[in-house]
Amino acid sequence: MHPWLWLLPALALLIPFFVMPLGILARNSVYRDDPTALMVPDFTFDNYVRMLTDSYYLDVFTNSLWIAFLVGIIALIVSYPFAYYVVRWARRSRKLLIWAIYMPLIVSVIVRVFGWIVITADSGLINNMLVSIGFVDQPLQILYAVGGMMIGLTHRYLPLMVLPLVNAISKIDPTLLTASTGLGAGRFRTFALVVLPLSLPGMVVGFQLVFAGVLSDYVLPNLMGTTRFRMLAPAIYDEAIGNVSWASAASMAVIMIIIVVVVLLITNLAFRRFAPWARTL
Amino acid sequence: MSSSNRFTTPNQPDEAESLMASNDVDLRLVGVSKSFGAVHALKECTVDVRRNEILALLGPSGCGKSTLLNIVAGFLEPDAGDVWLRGRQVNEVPPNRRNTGMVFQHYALFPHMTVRQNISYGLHARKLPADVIDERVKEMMNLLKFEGLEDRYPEALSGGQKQRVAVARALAIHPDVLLLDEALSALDKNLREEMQIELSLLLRRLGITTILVTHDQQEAFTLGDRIALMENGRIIQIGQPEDIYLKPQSKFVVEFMGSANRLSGTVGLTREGDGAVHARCGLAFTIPPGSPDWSSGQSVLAYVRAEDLMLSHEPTAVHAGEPARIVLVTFLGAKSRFVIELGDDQIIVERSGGDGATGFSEGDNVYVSFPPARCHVVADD
Repeated sequence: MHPWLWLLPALALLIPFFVMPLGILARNSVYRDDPTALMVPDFTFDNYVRMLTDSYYLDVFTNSLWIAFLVGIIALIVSYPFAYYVVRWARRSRKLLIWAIYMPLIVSVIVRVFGWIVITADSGLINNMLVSIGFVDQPLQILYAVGGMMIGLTHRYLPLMVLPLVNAISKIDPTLLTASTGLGAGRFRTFALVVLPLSLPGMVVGFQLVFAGVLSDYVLPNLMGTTRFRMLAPAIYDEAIGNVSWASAASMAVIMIIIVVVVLLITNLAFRRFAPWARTL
Repeated sequence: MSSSNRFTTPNQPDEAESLMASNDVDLRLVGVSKSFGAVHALKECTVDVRRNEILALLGPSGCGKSTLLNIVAGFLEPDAGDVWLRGRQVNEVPPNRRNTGMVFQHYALFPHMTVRQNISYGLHARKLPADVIDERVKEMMNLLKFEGLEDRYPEALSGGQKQRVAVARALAIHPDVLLLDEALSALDKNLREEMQIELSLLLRRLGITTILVTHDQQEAFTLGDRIALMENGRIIQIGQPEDIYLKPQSKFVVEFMGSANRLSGTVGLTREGDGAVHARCGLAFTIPPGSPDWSSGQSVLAYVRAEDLMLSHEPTAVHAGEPARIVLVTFLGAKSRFVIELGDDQIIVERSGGDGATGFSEGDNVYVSFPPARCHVVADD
């Protein structure tokens, strides 16, 4: 039996349902939208030109890139101390903590969003509390605003950051920390020069996963965000379903894929450039 | 405690003598004990390591030798007792403020740093000026012979090279005491023996006070000026390699020092009225001079090393009764090994090539002998 046959089930699924639709998408992106028909076969880059010059579309792209970047950073800042605690200090609670991180992956995202809505709404938990202690007169606009959307996005993608971090930090040999101390480095120096650089592989992977996830997220911008701050995935949906402009929606999708690929490539190259040692870890 | 005066008030005239004595002691451990839960890892260990001396802590795994080393480095705190480094009591001093250099069993090189960065790590931590650091790194490169590897990462180094970098990193800080924790045991045999010799020469040339932890007798003997033999958290015997080997003071020491034949017997008298051992296997011999007093009829164990035993075709002073029988002869290169059966006991005799190894073959009836001074008698408890 040829070893390649092991790939058959995966290929049987991926080729008709993933690779071919991607090809169709790429083809559609160079078609022309027709007001009277659905799409007209053509070969034009007009859609791409419009995406990259029209301020509406440019805003959609820059908004999404910013949010993906920020959520990636916030998730990193929130996750790192947690992951460090889980690896270095947690003993009996370790399993429980890891399970708590997996939990959101098990519960439907819609259910979780409704949880956040209850908490962040104008008459929700947070605002009720703030108003009742007199901290604010009017409820803060958290839900249906950029802030609320970012809370939801961070929560949704947190596990994708924590798990690679836990993995990377637990690979650090504790003797290295002993060695560092023995050579005269204090706690801060040891953390900054040994622990942090050696967790870099986990940070990069975590950031890439969160970034790609946020950039293509549809549910959270839709349920917790605002139409005054357009995000990419809902915008593509509106373009296709609302405007019946399948060709320009396709070109938006292709650009999104290119952005993700470019960001992954750049971070990988930068990582290899600045951390040549990491290949062997 | 009283000994602290010795170090903190050096101008008292009556303390002058002990001060001089302590001046060339780089490391002093006094009554150091350490427990992990119910396990007593160290029990009242007291030892002095003189300046430029290499002390080998030798013992089986779990004897507490690594615990002792970690207490010196400050990675562990003793439950009781004092640690003095260069005349300073350092019990409360954290490891990063003690000037000790440790070489770890698996090197513990920083994988994300080049050889140069690894070596200069401790120097940067001490905030030394850049030119001093450069100078020191060059000195270490030169000393350990790995110029040209400065910009390699540890994963691109061989085991022996990693070992050298680890030693260089520890030496670069010019430590008061160098600590080697099973530092060579990860290397394979030939390389390990090479490194033992190289390290021994290097440490003697630099004149650096060193404590070395090992379970390997050869390593301890090659590197150590003195050996401290440890068992169950105690230092059992301390002395020069020859003393440990030739004058073992307990059953544990003889047995740990390897291939000795163990003969059980009872204490009796010779015809001349001297103390003697009557071994169960039929051998009888006078108790070597310098042994403690034994009472007649006491059960004892006598140890004789394979290399101290001689074979002959005629009865000997030691062996007058029934002859023994050679059951196996093994050629081992520089020497031959004879396995002989005497009564219920099996005795191993090793003779070097030209030295009486010829003329005996399997099936021969032989008599054994040995110089009484080469026999170690201990109580059988």
